[in-house]
Amino acid sequence: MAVRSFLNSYRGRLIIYSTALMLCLTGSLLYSYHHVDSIIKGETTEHIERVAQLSHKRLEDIQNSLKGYVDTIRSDLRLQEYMFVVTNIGSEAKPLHELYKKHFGWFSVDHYLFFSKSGKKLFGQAEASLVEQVKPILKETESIRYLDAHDGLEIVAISPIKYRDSILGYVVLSKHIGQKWLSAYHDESGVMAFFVKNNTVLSSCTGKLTGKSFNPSTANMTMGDDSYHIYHSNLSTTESTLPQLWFAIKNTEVVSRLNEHRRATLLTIGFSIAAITLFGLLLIRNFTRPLTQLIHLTRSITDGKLPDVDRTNKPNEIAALSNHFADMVKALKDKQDEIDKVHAALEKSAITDMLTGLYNRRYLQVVFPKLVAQAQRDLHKIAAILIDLDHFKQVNDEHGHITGDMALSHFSDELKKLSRTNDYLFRIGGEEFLVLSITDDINGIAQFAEKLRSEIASTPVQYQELTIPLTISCGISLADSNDPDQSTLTQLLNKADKAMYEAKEKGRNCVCLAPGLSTSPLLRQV
Amino acid sequence: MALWKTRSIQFLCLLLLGLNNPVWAAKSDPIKLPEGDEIIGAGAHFSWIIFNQLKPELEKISGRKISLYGKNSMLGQGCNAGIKTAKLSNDKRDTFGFVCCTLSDEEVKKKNIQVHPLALEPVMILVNKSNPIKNLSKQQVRDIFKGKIKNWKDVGGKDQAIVVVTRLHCKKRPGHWKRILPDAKHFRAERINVKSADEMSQRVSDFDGAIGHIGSTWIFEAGDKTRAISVDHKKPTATNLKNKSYPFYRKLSAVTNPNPAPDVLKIIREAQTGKGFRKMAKRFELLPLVE
Repeated sequence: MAVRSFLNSYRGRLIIYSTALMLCLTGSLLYSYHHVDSIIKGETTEHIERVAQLSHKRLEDIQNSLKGYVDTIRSDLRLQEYMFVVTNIGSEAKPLHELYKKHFGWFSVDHYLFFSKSGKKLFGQAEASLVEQVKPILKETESIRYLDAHDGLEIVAISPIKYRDSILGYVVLSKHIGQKWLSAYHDESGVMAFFVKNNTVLSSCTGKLTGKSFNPSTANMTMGDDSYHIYHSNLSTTESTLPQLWFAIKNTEVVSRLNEHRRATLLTIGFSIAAITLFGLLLIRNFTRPLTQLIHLTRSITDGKLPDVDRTNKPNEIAALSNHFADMVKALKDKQDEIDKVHAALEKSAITDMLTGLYNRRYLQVVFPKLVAQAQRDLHKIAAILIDLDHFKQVNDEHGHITGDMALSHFSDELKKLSRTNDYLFRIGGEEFLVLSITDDINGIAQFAEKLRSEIASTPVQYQELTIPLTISCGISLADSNDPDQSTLTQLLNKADKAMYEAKEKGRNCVCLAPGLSTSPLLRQV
Repeated sequence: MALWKTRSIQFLCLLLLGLNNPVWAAKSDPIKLPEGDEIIGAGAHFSWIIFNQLKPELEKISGRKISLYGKNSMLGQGCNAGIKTAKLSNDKRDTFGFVCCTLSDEEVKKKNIQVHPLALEPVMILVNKSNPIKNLSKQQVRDIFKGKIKNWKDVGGKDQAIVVVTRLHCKKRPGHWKRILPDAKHFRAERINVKSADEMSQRVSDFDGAIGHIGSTWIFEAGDKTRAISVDHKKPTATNLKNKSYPFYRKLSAVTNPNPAPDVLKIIREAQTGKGFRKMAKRFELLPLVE
């Protein structure tokens, strides 16, 4: 149950999502970590292949340049004419050579050769080995060839030179592809290029491999102290007897890249876990804490409490919800206070006489059992003074009900003024009042009644220039709280009522005790 | 790219040359010469040199501005252009032409032009300066151009192949190179045939064993490696032309329509006989034809 509750909570979901994200990321990174070996090796192979393709493109560009150069030479009319003079008239080749240097000397070639139709070298700048290789391949058509060079290859463009539709001889232009050309391939990624012939490295871009034995059987091989990942660049136009172009990258470079990649992966894993955990915790804290506070708040409201909720200035949705909740709780509290006030007023009006502010007869019924219980606990008795205003009907009849009400108010004010703290004051009829008190002191009660009578008799009611004399008749009774028969309200009021009628009969404006009660002689005289 | 640029520049140069030269343009389109007070002359380069050198004097005598075309020594701008220009003269425009070849009577009649002879010009036999040969007989010259003699050692020179360079222009007209061999087909087949006097000078300069021919009025550039040799021990001079001991020459002339304007006649007469012309004739070894 607790698990289900956790899974259904947002906190639980956030934790699950964060954990799942962390696991996915970690899993993919671990996969990368474990498979990086093959990836790096694959990338290395691709990289070497790209470098090889680039070299092919450069070689192609050289071939095209050479082809353009020989086309320009063979189509030059003056050169054709000079070639004719040299080959057919037998003049010296120097003017032709001068013409070549003057007009075509700017061509970007390493070697140039001019041959007669019979294959005799007319002039040129080239090594003897190149001349010997070129001679057998002088053909009637234009051609591009790779030839052997001491440290690599020679790209050779050959074209016949014609004059009046007959071949006069041949022009041969070449570009040397050797150590210098290879040096461009020792790039930042560590790829090296080298030429191999007869299982020996003829030349290499850095010169380090030159002269080393080379016998490749797999994609990896060892030369000297180092092992290499190698790639053969297959130049389709080269014969197998010519130097072969190879590319290599040191395995230490590969391993170094591998380790670098792995270090980066591990760092990424660590950083990702830390970041996800931190963000997860922040998410949980930022989302669930205010939600939990709201849940506690609603629970308190359900329990009938209305706690104070502080507003917040944070600009987010949960803060807005919390503020709405605070407003709602404040509104509820205000409403509750209003209800309490109304309730208190209602309660007060239910037990209080509106005119005099004294308790009414209903409250007497409610409070009397409590007074009895209290008196029992304190081992005391309950004293009652029943008071009736003398000739009150006459006041009403002569001066009106308002004046009567004023008389009642006057009396109740005097009663409140003279009463003691533990006295309960009631208006139980039109001009009938009751004072209940928990006491054993009958003398004290009698003195209070007498003092009240005397005070009322001496302070007439003043109303609209009228002075209306007022007197009261009081009957005092006492109930023993431990005697259930005597301690009923009816018994107590009956006895007090009898004592009050006795006071009426004695001429009013006096205090009488219920039968069986007695006071000190001094009080009796009063 | 550089090659393309070079070719483009060459093409533009030729285009500008054609646009600025009405005679050159006349080869394919009808010539449209300006009308007005200006006298226009055009034609063969060698005669152009004469008129061009005399231009200030001729303008002074005629009192008119003279425009001359013929600076470029190229086939197609020579004698034919001179004849065409001469025929363009009318009421609104005065023109004349100049030629470096002898015109046959048939051609003069057919084209309805008037020829005003200027001078005889020696046709020099050119060799490379490195060639020790100083003299050849007329027959040796002809045998060399014919191809009978192919090595300088056969005429007392180095053992060196002879490179024959020819400029066989105005093939239907008599005289000029025809005084060496009367027909183009008689020349050695294995030869260089150039289109301008400039190329002639260049080729003979380039090849040590070269031999060629050029009019004496040609102004050689600095650094030129050619030299004229004697023929039958006679140098190509006006004197040797006059005494007819030098065999190779041609006739330089001016041409006009049958009724040339007086001003045109005036300048041609000055070119034939003036002091300036005499001075030039002396410089270029020309033999004046009008006393």
